[in-house]
Amino acid sequence: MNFAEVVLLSAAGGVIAALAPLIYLFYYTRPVTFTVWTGAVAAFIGGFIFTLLALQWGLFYARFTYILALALLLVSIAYTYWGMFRRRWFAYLFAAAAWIYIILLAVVARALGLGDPFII
Amino acid sequence: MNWVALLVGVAAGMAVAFGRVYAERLVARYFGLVPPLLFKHRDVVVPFLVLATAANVYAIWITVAYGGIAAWRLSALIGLALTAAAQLVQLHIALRPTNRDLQLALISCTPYVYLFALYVAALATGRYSLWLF
Repeated sequence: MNFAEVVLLSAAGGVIAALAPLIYLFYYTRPVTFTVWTGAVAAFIGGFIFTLLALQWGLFYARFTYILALALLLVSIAYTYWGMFRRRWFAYLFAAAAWIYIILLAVVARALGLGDPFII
Repeated sequence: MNWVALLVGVAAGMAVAFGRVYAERLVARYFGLVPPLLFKHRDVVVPFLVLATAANVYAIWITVAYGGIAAWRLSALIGLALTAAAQLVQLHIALRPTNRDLQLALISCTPYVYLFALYVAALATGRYSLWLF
């Protein structure tokens, strides 16, 4: 799987994660506010990173930090959906926990001079 | 089985379906009504747009990847043209919601019938290629 295929698949994952709740909200004529559009952007980023990491399954499936990152990203997307359906922006603060975790992993791996961010 | 074509097709189909519900909301707001009153068959049309666009993307991948276009087979060219026409009709369904949605959706299924007929004919005649003529 080359770089273009990985990017295409990740973008497709992000689009699917972002558009599923949007289609639901529009179909059932629920109110759509700025909070909902913000959630769509957050869900796109979450879905993109989730698919990007999930495509590396063969390399990292034995690492605890990798499995935890995937699980946290799923929880993050779920929190984003909660914020979109109930129009509560603070749900996105919970959703950001997974991103912060992945950024911390990357920073720690960089500081230790490791080749990949999934240290354990 | 090409997962890239399948997932990209589903994402494109969801984009088309989102365009449909967005257009429904705009039209309904213009007439001061709710969409379910105005569009009776939206429960069929919205999932149809997702599946049909995914099928179109996959059909184009089949036509291009298995050498039909490279060999200039007429059957492959017809398949590609039918798929492109179906995609145009489905975009019209999505962006201009009317009361003829179901008829247009039925008409836009011709490439799938055509490709399935090619598949059955290739199986029946024992040919190794989908592009029979």
